[in-house]
Amino acid sequence: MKPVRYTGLTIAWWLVGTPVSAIDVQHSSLVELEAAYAYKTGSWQKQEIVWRPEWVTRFDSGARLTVIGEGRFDAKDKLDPGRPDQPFRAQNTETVFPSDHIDLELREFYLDHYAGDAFVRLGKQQIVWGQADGLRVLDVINPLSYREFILPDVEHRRIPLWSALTEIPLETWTAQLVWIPDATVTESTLPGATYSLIPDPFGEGRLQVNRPDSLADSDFGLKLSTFQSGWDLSLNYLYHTIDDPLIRIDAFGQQVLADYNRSHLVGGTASKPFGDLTLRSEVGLESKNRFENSLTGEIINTEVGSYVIGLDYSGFSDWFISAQFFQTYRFTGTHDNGSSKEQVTVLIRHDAMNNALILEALGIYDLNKKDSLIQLEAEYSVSTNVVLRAGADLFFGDQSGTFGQFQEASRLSTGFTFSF
Amino acid sequence: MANYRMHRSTAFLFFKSLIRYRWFSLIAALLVIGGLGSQLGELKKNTQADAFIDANEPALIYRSAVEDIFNLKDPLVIAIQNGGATGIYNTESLELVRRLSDQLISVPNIDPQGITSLATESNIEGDTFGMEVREFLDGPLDSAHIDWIKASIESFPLYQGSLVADDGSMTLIVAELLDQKKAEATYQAVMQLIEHAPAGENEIHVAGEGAIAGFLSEYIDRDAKRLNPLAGLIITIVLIAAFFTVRAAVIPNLIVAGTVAGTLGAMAVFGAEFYVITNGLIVCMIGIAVADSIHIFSEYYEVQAADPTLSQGDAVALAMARMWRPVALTTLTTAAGFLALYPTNDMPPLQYFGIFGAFAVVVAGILTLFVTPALLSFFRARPSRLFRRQGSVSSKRSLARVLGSIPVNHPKKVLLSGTLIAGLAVIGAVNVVVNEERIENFQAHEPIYLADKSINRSMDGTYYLDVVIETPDAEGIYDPSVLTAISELQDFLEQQPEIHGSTSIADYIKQMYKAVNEDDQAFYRLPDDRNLIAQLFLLYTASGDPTDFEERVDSRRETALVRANLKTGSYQVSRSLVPRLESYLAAEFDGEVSAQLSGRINVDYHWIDGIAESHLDSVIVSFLAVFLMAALLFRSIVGGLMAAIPVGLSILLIYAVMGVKGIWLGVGTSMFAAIAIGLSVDFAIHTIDRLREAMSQPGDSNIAERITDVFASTGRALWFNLLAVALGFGVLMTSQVPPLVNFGMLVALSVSVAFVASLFLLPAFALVFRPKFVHGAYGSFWRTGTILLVLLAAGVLSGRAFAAEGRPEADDIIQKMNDRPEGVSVQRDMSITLTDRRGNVREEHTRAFRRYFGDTKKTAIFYTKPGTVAGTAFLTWDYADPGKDDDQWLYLPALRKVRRISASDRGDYFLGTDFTYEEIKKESKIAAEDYQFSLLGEEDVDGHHAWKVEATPVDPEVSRALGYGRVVLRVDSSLLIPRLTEYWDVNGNFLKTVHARGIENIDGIWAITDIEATNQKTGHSTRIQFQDTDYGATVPPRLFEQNALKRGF
Repeated sequence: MKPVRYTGLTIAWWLVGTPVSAIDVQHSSLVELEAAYAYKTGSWQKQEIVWRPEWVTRFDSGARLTVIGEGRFDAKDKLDPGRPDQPFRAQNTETVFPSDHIDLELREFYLDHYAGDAFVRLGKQQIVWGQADGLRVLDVINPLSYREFILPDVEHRRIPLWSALTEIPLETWTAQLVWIPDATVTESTLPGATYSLIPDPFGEGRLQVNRPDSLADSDFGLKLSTFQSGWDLSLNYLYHTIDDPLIRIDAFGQQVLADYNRSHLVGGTASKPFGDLTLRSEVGLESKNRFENSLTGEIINTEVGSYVIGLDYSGFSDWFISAQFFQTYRFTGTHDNGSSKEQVTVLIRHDAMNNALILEALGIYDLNKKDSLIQLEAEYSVSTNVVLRAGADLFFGDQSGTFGQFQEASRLSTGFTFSF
Repeated sequence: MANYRMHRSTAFLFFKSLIRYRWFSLIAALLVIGGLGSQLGELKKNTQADAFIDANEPALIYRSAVEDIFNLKDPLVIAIQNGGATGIYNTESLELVRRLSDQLISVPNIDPQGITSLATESNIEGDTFGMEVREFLDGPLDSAHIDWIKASIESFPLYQGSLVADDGSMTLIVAELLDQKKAEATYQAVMQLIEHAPAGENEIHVAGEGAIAGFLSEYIDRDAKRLNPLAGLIITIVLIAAFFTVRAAVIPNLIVAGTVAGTLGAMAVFGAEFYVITNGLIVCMIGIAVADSIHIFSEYYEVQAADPTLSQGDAVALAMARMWRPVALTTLTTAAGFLALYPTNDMPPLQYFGIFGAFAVVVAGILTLFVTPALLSFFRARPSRLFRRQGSVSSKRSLARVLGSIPVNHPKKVLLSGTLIAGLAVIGAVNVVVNEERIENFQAHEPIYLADKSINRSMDGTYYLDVVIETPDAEGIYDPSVLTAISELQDFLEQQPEIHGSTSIADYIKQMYKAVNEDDQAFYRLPDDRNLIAQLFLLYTASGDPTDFEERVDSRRETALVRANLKTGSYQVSRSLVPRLESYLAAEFDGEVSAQLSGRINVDYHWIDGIAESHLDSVIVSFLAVFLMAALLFRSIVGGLMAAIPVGLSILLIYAVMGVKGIWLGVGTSMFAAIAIGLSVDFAIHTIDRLREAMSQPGDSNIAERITDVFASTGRALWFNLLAVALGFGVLMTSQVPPLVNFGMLVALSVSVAFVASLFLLPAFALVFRPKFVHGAYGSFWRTGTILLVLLAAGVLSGRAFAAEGRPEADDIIQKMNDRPEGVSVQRDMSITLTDRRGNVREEHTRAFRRYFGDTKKTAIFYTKPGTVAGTAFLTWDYADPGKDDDQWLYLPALRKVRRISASDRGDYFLGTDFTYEEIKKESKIAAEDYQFSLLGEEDVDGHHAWKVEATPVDPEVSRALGYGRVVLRVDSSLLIPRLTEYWDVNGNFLKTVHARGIENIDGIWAITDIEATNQKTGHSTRIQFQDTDYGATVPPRLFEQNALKRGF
């Protein structure tokens, strides 16, 4: 965990060395009250209050320190029951559970500064690559939390990591270099939680997570982006630990094993508007991913290619329609699961009453399993500081499918956000 | 009998009462004039050259900012010239430089840090340690040292031509002044210093923009102060000659004194300053006050001559009863002419000239009507001997009658001659050249004039045009590409025929690079390594003074100054040079590094350009104001026209003389026409009034006789009026100062022309056209008023903004609106208030940045509040090429992704507001290629005149993209900002209004500070209030990159 400490120490040293008079602190907070009711089981999934404070401190030198916290009180405590172990998180990235119902997390904590023309961001942060919405081809630097599966905004699902980022302008290109010495991986809630993805054949949630070492297995990457002839283009390279584990059942040791492997990710993005249509595309190739042959138990190493093509249409005033097609392909296929997976997403949003009312429908359909998720949401800004919200998250399809498995968890939700 | 009739007139009885209660009017006048006069001490003098420039002129504001950055001031330049074989490279000359440089430090108002000469500058040369910085005059001046100085200068191009003449015959000591206002005293102190300096074989000259600009105003002011009283004296002598009485000499002078004291006192009360041209106002006041008095006294003595039995009170009241009307008429018409100067001029001195000129005319009129009779009543009735003689000898062969017979006998020929003269005058007037060159205001034998010419003959020039190079970051100047651009700019500058040399930090760097390479000439170039450049600076500071560069580059090494030397400060030169440079800079510095012109040459160019543009408007409006007022008072359009004839001819001839004699239309001369209007309208009004009276009186005498009578009576008064003013101001022709000589000559000319035109053209006009109003037929006040109102709307309003071109074309208005300056960059906060039809209010706050990159306008808007939208950011790149779609990006914090958005959404509403994306990025301008424009008329919006322009989309496709089928803009005619705009949707339904509720001048730029859009269909409204607008803020280019949206500002 040394790199994390070094980053923290650097920021602390910098803060101590800066005259206090030279700072301007701005605070803003969001308080969200939200309840979700799983109508199939007739039970409340959550009844929570979330406080998201943000402090931005500006220094005369031009540097800026951002601190974003999150405190949650959930009366139901079904999403991550009790005070769960956090085997997927690196020590410095862990959430604090003062009680069963409360969790506290330092979400982001980073210092921004320009060193000459180069932009530097140091600290706990989210680094986002790619052009696709919700589908992950290149947006794999930060792992996700599956506490509420994929229902919340992706901003709240990404786990911010201790990392260093710099962006250096090079003529018409910008080079972004990232280094992530934080081995936190995709966080699945443990057996017993509403949206747990971990199998629990032995009933006691016996899980062995062989998480990589933060420093020795740190991730690093390079993104080159440019704007040429109306095209937004990027070329991406990341050497990283694939955050989604290979899950194996160790029948002998009576435990579930989660293993990770390193891979080179090479990819790129391109987007450009054509009249009312905007094309977004993203492609990536992982040099190594692993799967277990469900028949033979054999571990297969394979290259995996993925891409997303998205089209946004804004030809109707106040309407935004976006469709994406996603395909992932294993170059060394297995016959039982098929060598490729395809998903389609459709987003329809309507802004009414000068954006005071926003209606949104998002559908994700898995072409292989023929299951789907439909999210409906209405947001109404009552005043400057109060937004009311109501929605539904509906899972359809076969129990074996990615979405179908949570059929019973389909829910209606309501809540409001208060900002100050 | 006429007198009998008068005895019973209301006017006569009024003036009888006035005389009876004369103490009342005298005390009232004394109190008012005394009260105002007591404030005279508060009147502030401002003889600065910059006083003529509107304080909001962007070029002036920018120059002040540049002066602050580089610590620049207009300097005083001392030249030491030696015609000997070695030039200034001899012990005596160099000792003199050293001595004067040392002594200048102790001269008050000279910046000790701002002295540049061979004694303060250093050579940069190579030595064993790399680079040595050695002061030129450091050490004993033996022949070896002098040879070294000569060799050093010859291998240091920066100093050639700027510090030492190319042929070595002259060197300069440049001294910057701390306070420009004390320039004259400093000039005198330096001149004294030079008188005592051991010049030996050397000639010493003192000139420089600082000396000239500061000294000139004082120079004019001083001579005007000397000559104005002389003018008063001559006028008094004329008065005595005209009436041969003490009272006629004393009372008009009292009226003049009261008018001057009251007006200048009022100026002090209202905080107006006394400028150089306010001397001209005094001239006008004397002329006007004296004219009124001469007419009153003429009438008074005529009345006495006609009936010597009249008591003094009756004689005075009778004269006043007959004269109050023409005096009131001239007062109102002249005041209207002056007042019209105010809205049509940009220069504060001329604006005040207009306002207080009108004020003075009214004061003079009131004093003449109420105080003159009161004062006159104190004297005993005693006819003037001159009038006694005239009354008794009514010779038919007197000069007046002979002259009077000319228009009577040959009216058509007289009119034809007048027309011919006017035609010739037009030809002369078109040759008037707009120019200003301060040094030409001095006489050719003045030392300062000789010095200027001599220095500018030998050196690169003492007039500066600056180019300020701004880079986005600290130490940006170290970038080799920036330095190369600077060097190329210098090459371009030096190719211009008007420019004789230039200096910049690049020159120093080349010299330093050469020095560290053992003075190898091959290294007199810019290194292409940024670090090396930084090291050169560091190396310099090791042995030289780091402030040596402060006039070339700022301490952050972010901004640099390139200075070009010109040998003349003439507007004729800058008029062609400045636009040429501006287009070069626009083409070559269109990226992150910007370049802007500054320096006095640039400032002068911009505001003199303004004079050229507004002058014609100003004169036409003044002229129209006189015509309208006269027409209204005579209740006759023909009456107005007749009053306008002598005035118009007088203005035309002034321009003709200026054109023929090569007198430039510049700062000082631009007020001549206004003064001509003020002084010449009196002649016309008095003549017309008398003509009317004579023509309308019952009796059997014929028209010719009546006109001849007018000639004899009014002609005499006008003759003395002419003599008083023409001789009075003719005295100015003896001035030492060329502008005053011209002033005196042109005033004398204008009143002479007005006199001749009034007495010859007006009777001839009356005889040829026989207008009804001259024969006593009173027109209807309302009818005349209505006709005038129509004329006013059609003429004056359009004349105000576009007098030269007539009514503007809609395309021109839109073009001008789109060309409105909006600064290279701006930072501001926007408070967006969204209100729905039920009154629910949402407020959002943003920080917005905008910057031009060449022709491309980039705008970034970051939402800061409330928390639910904070972090949202919008970026747009708006290209000048209409064929190229704009590029737009939106950053949504929920995705943490920068999303490309289609530019064809420009008719969509921007993030829930009632402004479209197009309107947000255009900032109250409009894409001219999208619409066809037509001018619907004009309207007042919020009390401001505006052009009403209809914009119709060029085709249905554009109409759909914009969301509008029709737009009607009301564009403020002076600020060129749309104050109120209405929109109709593609189906023709009324859609929304956009109202600019607040417009302010910020940093010299007119900007909307409060704007509201209301959607008529939904009842929703959006109000955007701009706060902390800063056109001078550093807006770094990196804010306009896609990545910046997620980084925040």
